[in-house]
Amino acid sequence: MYQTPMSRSILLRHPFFSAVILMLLLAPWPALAEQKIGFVNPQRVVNETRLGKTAKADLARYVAEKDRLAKASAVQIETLRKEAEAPGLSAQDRTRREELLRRKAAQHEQLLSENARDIKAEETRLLQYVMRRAEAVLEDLGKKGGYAIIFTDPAAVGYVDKASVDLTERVAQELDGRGK
Amino acid sequence: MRSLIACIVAALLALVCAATALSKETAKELARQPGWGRVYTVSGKVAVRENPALDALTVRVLKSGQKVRVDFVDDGWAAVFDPAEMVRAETRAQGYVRLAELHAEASPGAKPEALPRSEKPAKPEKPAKPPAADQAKKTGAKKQAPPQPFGEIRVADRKMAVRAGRDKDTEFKRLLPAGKRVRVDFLEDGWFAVFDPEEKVRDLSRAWGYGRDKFLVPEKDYAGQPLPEATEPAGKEAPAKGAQKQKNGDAVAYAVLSRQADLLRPLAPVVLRVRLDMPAPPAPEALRKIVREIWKAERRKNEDLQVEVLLPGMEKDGLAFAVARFHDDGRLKEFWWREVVLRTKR
Repeated sequence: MYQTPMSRSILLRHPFFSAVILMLLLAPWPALAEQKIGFVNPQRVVNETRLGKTAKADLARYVAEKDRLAKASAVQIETLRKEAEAPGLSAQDRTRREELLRRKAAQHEQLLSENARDIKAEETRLLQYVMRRAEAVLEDLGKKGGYAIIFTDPAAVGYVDKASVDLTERVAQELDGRGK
Repeated sequence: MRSLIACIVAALLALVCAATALSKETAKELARQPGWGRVYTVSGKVAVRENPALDALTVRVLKSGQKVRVDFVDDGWAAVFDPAEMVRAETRAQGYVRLAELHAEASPGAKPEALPRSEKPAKPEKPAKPPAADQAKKTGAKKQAPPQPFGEIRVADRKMAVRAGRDKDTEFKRLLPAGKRVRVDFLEDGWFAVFDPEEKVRDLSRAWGYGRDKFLVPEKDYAGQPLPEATEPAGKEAPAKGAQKQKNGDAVAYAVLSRQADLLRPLAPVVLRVRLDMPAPPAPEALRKIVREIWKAERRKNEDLQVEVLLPGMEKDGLAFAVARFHDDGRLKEFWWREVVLRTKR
């Protein structure tokens, strides 16, 4: 009987394939379940949930409040600058006003730096608030879905097949469901 | 000729009747007017600011011809209210305007002369003169009788809300615990005006707000446990519960949760965390007034006090609903609030 090289090869390996298939069939299913891996994009959780959007609106309001303070301070500096540069001032008056301007300018710089620090801190607080609630959802989802690992940092792994393991949408929906 | 005379007489009678009816309507209308503050007509656009300061945030703009009620005048600034506002409480103000930008208009309860720029703020404790009192003055009554208790004392038979108006959807003012004694009067549509039990002046502007009559029972009919404070003199605070104190800041009850100073940063503000006794979050405009009242009540000498407001059900150490920082003179320096904390179930 004529046999092609390919069919001969399969016949030769037949016992090996059988063993592999048998092993797969007999493998305990929970062990396979433990291999489930998920991925959640925190940025999308913030961007796509009501909770996250509210947090972003809160942050925008906070930034506007800080901007208002900075603008008011800038207006004061401008006024002091005009006063210091006004013609007809005595040398003593000019020195005093310039000193005042210099101090106010230093305060303004400090205010700007504090504002930037405060905004960063508020952003972190709000983000943490949202993510803490998202983590509670993730934990439930992980337990119920049998996930061993759920990544939240895409940079931590070399490759993630987002189409099959991305849980972001489910987390977002669940988070919105838990909110008011 | 006779018929002509009869016609004239009939016409005159009709005129008299109409005039009488009109004067009754006018009297009723006047009685409905709040007897406090002054009504102003705006000339030109006037900015309403969240604080009495030129650099404060503009919260709305009044248009020319618009009427506003004005009170709490201080250093050329005044709080503005809806002209129909019945309750004289600064927390209900829409904001602040410069008096110079307004144009006075005579109204019941208003002083005929213009208010000087340096006029001191009218104290909320001082009752606004009711129209009746003004009338007595005009008719030559030299001496007024000392104020007598009015209405009646009733007891809340359950935990109940006192609201800004005779409607359950109006702004929440304070919570009456079961057994709380109050003075009630002005029953209308099933709602009493609720006063401090020691209140002597029968003036709606001095009321805490309005409460449902069916929950306010006469003392003899009240079967529940009386409050320990019910036997104490009026104005005394409720006993402290653990580290918490129940206080009232312009008709809003709150509990102090903590007061923390950062020992490592001496210039950092002292942070006072309070929990408002309100089932629903107040609007930002009202919240601004509330935090200011809390700051006034809680600030110690020369302290840089930051007020953080939490609502019932929020974690004591969690993210606050609102945060306020102040200038030394009590004006708001910074104020922000976080709606995100309202999005999660408390």
